[in-house]
Amino acid sequence: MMIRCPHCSSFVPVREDAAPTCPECGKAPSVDTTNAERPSAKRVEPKPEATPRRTQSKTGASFVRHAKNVALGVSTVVTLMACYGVAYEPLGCEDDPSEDLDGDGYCREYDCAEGDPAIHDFAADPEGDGIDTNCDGVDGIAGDAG
Amino acid sequence: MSDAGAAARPRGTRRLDVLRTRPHPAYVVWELTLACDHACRHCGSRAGEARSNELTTDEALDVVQQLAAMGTREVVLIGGEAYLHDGFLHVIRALRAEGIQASMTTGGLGVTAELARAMADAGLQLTSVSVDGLEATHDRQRARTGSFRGALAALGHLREAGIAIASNVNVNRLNLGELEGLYEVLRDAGIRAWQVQITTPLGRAADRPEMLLQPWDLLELIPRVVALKRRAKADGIRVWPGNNLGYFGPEEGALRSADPDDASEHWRGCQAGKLVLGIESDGAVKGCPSLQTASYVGGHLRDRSLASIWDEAPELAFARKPRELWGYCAECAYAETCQGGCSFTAHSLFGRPGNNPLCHHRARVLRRQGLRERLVPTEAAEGRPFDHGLYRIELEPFDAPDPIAEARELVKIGRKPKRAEKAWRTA
Repeated sequence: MMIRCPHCSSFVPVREDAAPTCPECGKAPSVDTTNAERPSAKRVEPKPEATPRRTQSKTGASFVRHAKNVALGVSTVVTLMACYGVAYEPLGCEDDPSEDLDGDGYCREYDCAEGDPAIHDFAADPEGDGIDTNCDGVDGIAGDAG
Repeated sequence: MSDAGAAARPRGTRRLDVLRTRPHPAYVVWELTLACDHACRHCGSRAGEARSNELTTDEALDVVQQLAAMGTREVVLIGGEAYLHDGFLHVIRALRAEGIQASMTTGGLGVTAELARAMADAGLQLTSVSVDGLEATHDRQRARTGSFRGALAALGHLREAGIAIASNVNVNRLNLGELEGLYEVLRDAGIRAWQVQITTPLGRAADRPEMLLQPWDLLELIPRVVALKRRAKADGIRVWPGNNLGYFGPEEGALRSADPDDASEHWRGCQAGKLVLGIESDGAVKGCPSLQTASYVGGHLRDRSLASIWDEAPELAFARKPRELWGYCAECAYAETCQGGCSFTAHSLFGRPGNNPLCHHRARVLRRQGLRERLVPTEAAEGRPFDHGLYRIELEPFDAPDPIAEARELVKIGRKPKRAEKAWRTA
């Protein structure tokens, strides 16, 4: 698990056995929900019981519990690519940007929900949130279960 | 876009939850042939002549069926030059018929307007044209006068044919000073995405250590790439880091995220054999297309099914469990997540993965201590596709002289005699 350092923007690993310290600037990041990892595809509202207290943790273990609560239900999504140069998601808006009614950058055949910026054909669709954000018919990536 | 593209459009192909998705060959890079119309001086596969035992078109079409059965989402066709394989267009059609996204990476020299239209008709969706500097530098690195103009012409032909165009660059000491100028050329050519990676001492690049970046060059490169990424965002272009550009440091989020201002994503470790698969033109299967052939081929498609290689070969499974890290990486604060960065890059330096000095965070930490690591070649490569030499690390003062910094030469070193291949695991 990683949080963001408010002092230098680096990622800070969170461990069970030690209070976190930023490996880059050496400062201790405060517990702040805005620093926790979050998915880029859509906004995740934290569950009420998971809302952390805005207090400075004294131990690594308590900080971990705090951060885990913050990150509850959040998955990690990365763009998959190898080093062979094709890192492009077709957007469909190249010819006429006005077709992008929801402003998500995807149009026509690449936007299965023109009107909801959180949903399009190339959206990350982390399993477990009950939302099919990439329109493949399942919550998560179709065919990836197991 | 062709009818084939409209009929079998893939969904959600490029963004995967790497922690929750079960290992499967979602993203495949397939060297259709080693035949090439270039002989690039940095080419990891030493492409030029076709391998003597490359898969036939019928065999390649069978591979497409196996990929479809295993849930492959996207295939990038490479070479050599993929269009020099007789079955090139047939393979594209077969991929699209199975709903697999078909992409291609090319030097572009042979991409005429006619070929571009044929590729579009077959259903090819994306093409990335490799451009490694401004004209003089690109032609020098690609060892061919006219290569730069050919690449730009190809971008035009592909765009005209309705294929989405992107570009990629191998950054090294020949072209390090040209990134901003190159970006402007490519932007004006209409690219929608740009992948930036660093040249690794693999294949022919292993013969030219003076051309390679030293670890401290990342201190300059990474902030410049992130600045270009922010500029590209305003131009409607996405800049992506190759898997061997990183890792961590203050720019990591901006570098690795789709939106540099969101900056929530970071390197998650090598995905070779987890969600990535590489196929060589003779049917050899690796966890990543750039991994060293001698150590990472898990089987051949003429001998075994893709499923059995994927499920059973230890050469493909090495990244599915925590890596054995060593050297600086073993003690790094990011070790658990980073896992030593790019496997083939580390292997190309030391003959095994798990310690990667080509790391932004590492260079920044050492700079704060007044130090830097210099990579010094100790053993030359043999001259086979995807081979490597060996390097050692010399720790030196950060302000030590850098006699080759201004050389910008493509000095070629000697090569040791070929010997029997020996896997690093059994050494």
